[in-house]
Amino acid sequence: MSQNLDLKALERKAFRSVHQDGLWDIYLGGLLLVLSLFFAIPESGEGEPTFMALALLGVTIVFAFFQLSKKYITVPRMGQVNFGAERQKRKITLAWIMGGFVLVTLAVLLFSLYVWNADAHIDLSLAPSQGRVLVSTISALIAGLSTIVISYFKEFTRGYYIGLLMALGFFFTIWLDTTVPMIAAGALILLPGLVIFVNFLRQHPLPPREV
Amino acid sequence: MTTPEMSDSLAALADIDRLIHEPARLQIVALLYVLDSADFVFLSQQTGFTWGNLSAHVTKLEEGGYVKVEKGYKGRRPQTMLRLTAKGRKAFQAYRQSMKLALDELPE
Repeated sequence: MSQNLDLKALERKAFRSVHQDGLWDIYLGGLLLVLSLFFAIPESGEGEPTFMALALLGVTIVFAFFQLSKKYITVPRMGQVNFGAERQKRKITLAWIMGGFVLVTLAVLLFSLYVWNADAHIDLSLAPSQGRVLVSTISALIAGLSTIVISYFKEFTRGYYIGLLMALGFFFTIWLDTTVPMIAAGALILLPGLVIFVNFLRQHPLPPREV
Repeated sequence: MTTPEMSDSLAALADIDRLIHEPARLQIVALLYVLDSADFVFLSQQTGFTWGNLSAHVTKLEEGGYVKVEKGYKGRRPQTMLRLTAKGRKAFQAYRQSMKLALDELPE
């Protein structure tokens, strides 16, 4: 043997190989593209139900594509694996942290609705431009940090770059009031994902079926 | 001339578990040691072994009681999951220990 048998490295390599199909990139990039529809709604509110319906349909399609592709394309080629107790613990910790992110997001949303409500007695004394920067920063932090935390727990290295692009996409879309940054960020995440996915399909043909 | 320490090391090498010592089987056992369970496809992808090669080695490990083969279905597709038994886990730990002992004590 030319190298020591490093069991931790062996496990890490096996774990990381599960994310090498590009599907997370496609999912997160697609999600960002679809979410940009929410920010494309004109100030007048014209066509709002159509934009909302399209965005929700898009989110459903992107999510279904991710789940079905994992099940019918990746797993038959990559195989099925269950990792040890340590990974299970990390999975549960991640679930708790993501639950916390959802709660924080909901709290921020509810607080924003309360402040914007005409009857609210809270005066943040912010100029409209300051308010926009605040909302942009909070959205960018929630989107970027949650993706980076997922990437850390899943040892998904590309996720750090995706998290940064998501944060930038959210920040500049809200701050500049244009969907271009979000579409650009989505495309920069989605396109490499597609290339990785095609390479994955080339490198992992379907194995013989078990009998 | 062999020293008593050296002959101990050589004796340790003679006691090496040959079922695990074979390089291909060592890879399979090491991989299953760090995982909970995996199917043939995953093991084949990770080790680079062909289906037939993998199957032959797994059969030997199963016969030795080191690997448990669980046949089942995932949806309508047949699926065979492999996991290291307690005996296999113990044997791998003992193998690592004896290899370390034997090789560490050999002179440079």
